[in-house]
Amino acid sequence: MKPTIESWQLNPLEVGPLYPWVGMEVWMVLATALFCGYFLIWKIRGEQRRYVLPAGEPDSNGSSHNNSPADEEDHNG
Amino acid sequence: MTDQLTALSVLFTEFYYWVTVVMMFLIHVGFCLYEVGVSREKNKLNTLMKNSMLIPVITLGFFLVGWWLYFAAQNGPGITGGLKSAPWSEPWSELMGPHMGGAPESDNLTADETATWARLNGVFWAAFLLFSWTAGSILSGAVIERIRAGAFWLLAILVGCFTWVIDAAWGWSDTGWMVQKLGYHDAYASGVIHGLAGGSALAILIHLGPRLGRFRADGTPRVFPAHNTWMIIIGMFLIYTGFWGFYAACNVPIANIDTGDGSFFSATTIYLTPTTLSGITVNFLMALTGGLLAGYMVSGGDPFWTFQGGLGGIITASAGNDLYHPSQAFFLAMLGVWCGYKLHYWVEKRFKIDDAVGAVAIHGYCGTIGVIASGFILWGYPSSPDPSYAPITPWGQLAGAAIMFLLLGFIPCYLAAWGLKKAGLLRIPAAVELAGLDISILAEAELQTAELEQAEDEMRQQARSNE
Repeated sequence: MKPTIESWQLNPLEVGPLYPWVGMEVWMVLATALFCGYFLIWKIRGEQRRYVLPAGEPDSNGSSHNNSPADEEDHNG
Repeated sequence: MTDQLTALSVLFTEFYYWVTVVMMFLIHVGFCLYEVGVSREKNKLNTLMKNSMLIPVITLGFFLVGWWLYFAAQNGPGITGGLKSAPWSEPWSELMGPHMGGAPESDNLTADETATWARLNGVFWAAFLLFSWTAGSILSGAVIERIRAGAFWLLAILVGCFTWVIDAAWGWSDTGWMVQKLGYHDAYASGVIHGLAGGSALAILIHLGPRLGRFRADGTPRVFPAHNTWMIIIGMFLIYTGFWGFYAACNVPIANIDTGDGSFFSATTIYLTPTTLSGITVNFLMALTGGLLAGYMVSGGDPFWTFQGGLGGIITASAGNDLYHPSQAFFLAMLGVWCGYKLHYWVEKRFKIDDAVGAVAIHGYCGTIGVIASGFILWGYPSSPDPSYAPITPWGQLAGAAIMFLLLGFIPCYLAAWGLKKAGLLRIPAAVELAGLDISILAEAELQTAELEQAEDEMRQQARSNE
């Protein structure tokens, strides 16, 4: 893909955006929004698994039986 | 930026906001320390992560929606017009990224907009984003030790990216409809951030309920001792420091305020009314002083309420600290903290509200009292350089306080927390609350300790066999 700036030997008054992929902004923002939504859903579903499923309930000693990797990744926060 | 004076003022403004943003980051560091210090040992890591992770969550929401909403919503719901056009603030705008201010690529940007916003868009965006983090962080402290992180982050997005942004558009911008029609004045955000966040926190606490064991069977509250007092105190000092940066960030550093033919450059408030960094610095410190003294006196020397009082004093005086005499800021701060403290315990006792850090009192009550009081003290002052705007009045400020605390603070969060509660997503199970939210971490640590002990035994055995 062609870079937005090909040389710094130019008139600064004529230079606009510096970043690559000018014209693709809407798609890049859409990807950001999708990831934001995915993160929240991932977190809420993780908490549901952890707190609602019987395997996620801590026993009387306070230790959790739920040690699957999927649940370990969101155990804090 | 073809003439030197324009270039100098733009570059100075860019650098000025950049510095204030770095200073304001200390507010979030302070909130993290403070909340972790207040939490019990078994919840400290969860408390830290819940608050820290609102940084990326709110940042994404503010990038996608919040910054555009601030400009677009300034006319309110059809009160002074429709949605305003602000193409530089759309997340896909070329001006959101590195840009030299030359001819725009997009059809919806003018050359003037591009030249102006290329160097200011990002630093203004960051300053407002830091305010959004603060709004979310205020909620965070009140709800510690029993809210689910996912639910909290959804509520933080609601407040940090929508409700506070709308109230800032309405009442904390030079063309907001509340400023035009009500003469609303809130120079350093007593109501815009603190009143709103306090009202939001109160609404969530109603649905969330108190921590287990917080109230005895006879209804009297039980004190949960903080696990680390020094974290609380250092956190509070960092919040004070960051708040100082926030005051600077609320100003426009250099603007031509001369309405005649000449030029007169001054710092202005966000309403473009003139003020000085010198004056607001004295008022900031006098309000801090009044708050500390009032907190110390009303609580009988309790360190927690003394330090909270310092913050509450600044918040109370902030609405009018661009115009008050230092003595006015001092006594008003004392009044706000005294009322906030009394209200906190009255609400706690009467409604069994468990506000773990006193956030509703210090931010919500003090901020709201400050907005209302400023209406009396500054009665008749112009709210804007535009003479067609309404002047500052008690009823304008009272209406403004109600909009901040109730309409945009309490009601949206009450409905959202109610929905989350109905869906079973708001609160952690009782068994987890009793064991502590850090149980997974603690269990892991126990396993690691056992593993280390086993390794040491093996090493001893190997040493013996080598001998």
